Amino acid sequence: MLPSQALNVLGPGMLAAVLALIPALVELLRTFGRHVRFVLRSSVGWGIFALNAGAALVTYLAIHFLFGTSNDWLTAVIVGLTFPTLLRSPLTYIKGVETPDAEFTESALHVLANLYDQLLRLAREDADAIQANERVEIAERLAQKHGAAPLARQVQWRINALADETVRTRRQQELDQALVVSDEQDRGVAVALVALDVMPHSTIQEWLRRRKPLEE
Amino acid sequence: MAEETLRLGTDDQELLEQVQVLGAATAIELAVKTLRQPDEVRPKLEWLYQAGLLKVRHRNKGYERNIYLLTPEGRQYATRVNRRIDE
Repeated sequence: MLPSQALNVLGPGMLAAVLALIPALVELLRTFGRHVRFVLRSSVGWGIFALNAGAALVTYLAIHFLFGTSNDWLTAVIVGLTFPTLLRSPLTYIKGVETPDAEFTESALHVLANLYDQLLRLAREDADAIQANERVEIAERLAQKHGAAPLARQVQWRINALADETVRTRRQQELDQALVVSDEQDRGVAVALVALDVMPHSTIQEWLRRRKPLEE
Repeated sequence: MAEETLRLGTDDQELLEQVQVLGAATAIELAVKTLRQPDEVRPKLEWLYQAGLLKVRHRNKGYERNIYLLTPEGRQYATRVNRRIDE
């Protein structure tokens, strides 16, 4: 195959792959909302994009070589936008009577859809772990920099100002519990974790940037 | 295969529910959320891990090394309120 011919095939193929990323991104945004950034930091999250793009490219190439379609760009658009349904739907090719002993249909696509579900679950798990890691990492930095007592004083002011009594009581209980943690290092991290829940994001960032520790 | 029901205390149940709420968490965070001491929570988390209800991701750096997540079985227990062995 000449380079120009290869480009003529791969160009539309790449378009199909890029178009397949759109539903993948929408799907992740719908599933994870504002936490999608944690998914995008996980290898499984990128795996989902790679799977979508790769599968769309393969499907496009299969259609191109098997059917020799005349308008490659149109084929690429159609494949890119419709292919995602194959990965996500339990489309059934051979349907058996469902009995308690044979509850699943004999569909390869059903298996594919289940595998895709598993991949999404794995991405959620990865995102949760990354998020938990980030929380504790920030808490450890805050504790190390400022110590439990100065952080607790700031958090206490904020809790006193909370309007909702139920929330205020709950946060106060958490802070009181954090302050009676026996191990000093644990205590600092525990207070910092309460601070992460109570204080505005901008304040936390300012505390992290500060050169001098907070005053007691 | 018959499903064996595990005997879970209120504390264990509460920990599982908190892990479900947070998605993943360290022992200290779970201690704060359940209003307990970290040293009280760590052995319980270890037990839940041994029982197959939690899984652990290890952090490469930092003071608190373990992050706990629910296993599929743990997720089932976390959604059952006041589950007991004798039910």
